[in-house]
Amino acid sequence: MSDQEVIERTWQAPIDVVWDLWTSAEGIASWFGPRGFTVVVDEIDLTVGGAFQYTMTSSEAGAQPRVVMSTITELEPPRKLVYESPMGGSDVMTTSAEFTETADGVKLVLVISATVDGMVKGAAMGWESSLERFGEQIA
Amino acid sequence: VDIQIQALSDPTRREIVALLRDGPRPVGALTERLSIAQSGVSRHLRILKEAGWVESQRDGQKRLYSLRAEPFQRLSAWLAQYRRVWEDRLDEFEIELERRTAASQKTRKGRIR
Repeated sequence: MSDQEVIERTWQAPIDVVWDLWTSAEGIASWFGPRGFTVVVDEIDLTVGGAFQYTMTSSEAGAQPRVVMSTITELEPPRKLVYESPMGGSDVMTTSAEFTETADGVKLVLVISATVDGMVKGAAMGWESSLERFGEQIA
Repeated sequence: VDIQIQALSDPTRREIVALLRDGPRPVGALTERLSIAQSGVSRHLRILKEAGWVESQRDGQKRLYSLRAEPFQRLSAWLAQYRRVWEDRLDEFEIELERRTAASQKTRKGRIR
């Protein structure tokens, strides 16, 4: 089983600027962290099978840094980047970004999908805790 | 709790859950879609029911099986929450993109001059 969310945005900007901000280590660090978090990109190897790893640290005192490792599964610069992040067990979250040049600007279609077999299993142990853990791993 | 966890470790039972996502079904309709005997489907349904994933109700002669909504509603709520994380990220992306686009236009103009 899987579920997905789709988000679309359009920006008036050159596609190469969009692509660089989406895929470069310093670019990602400037926007990726949810509020209250610092993100450092440890590695982004822009090849199919390459690693995308970042470390996220909450600004709360005593917070432990969290390392998130993903693998790039599709790459077509400057139009498409897909990576998979393991979520424990056999479940993966897939983040797919596709950019197309339209009359209104560069359109992003972002598809976030997750397989949930393990989550469904974990549900028997308590949905809240399992979802929280899941969120911690990929947020 | 162990029984509940085990209930979805079986691929056939996961397939039954996936089929029931399309709506309530009698055991016969599920059997048609699965390559096992009806008695096997009934056994899997009983396990899913005992584990709290599935419920059934009588519809005339037939018994209709359906998913219990609660666990799946919580999943949707969680995904919606994750969507908001990305909406925030994209807001930040947009701010930085505008800054960079303005900077790159300045550079280009500079080169023309």
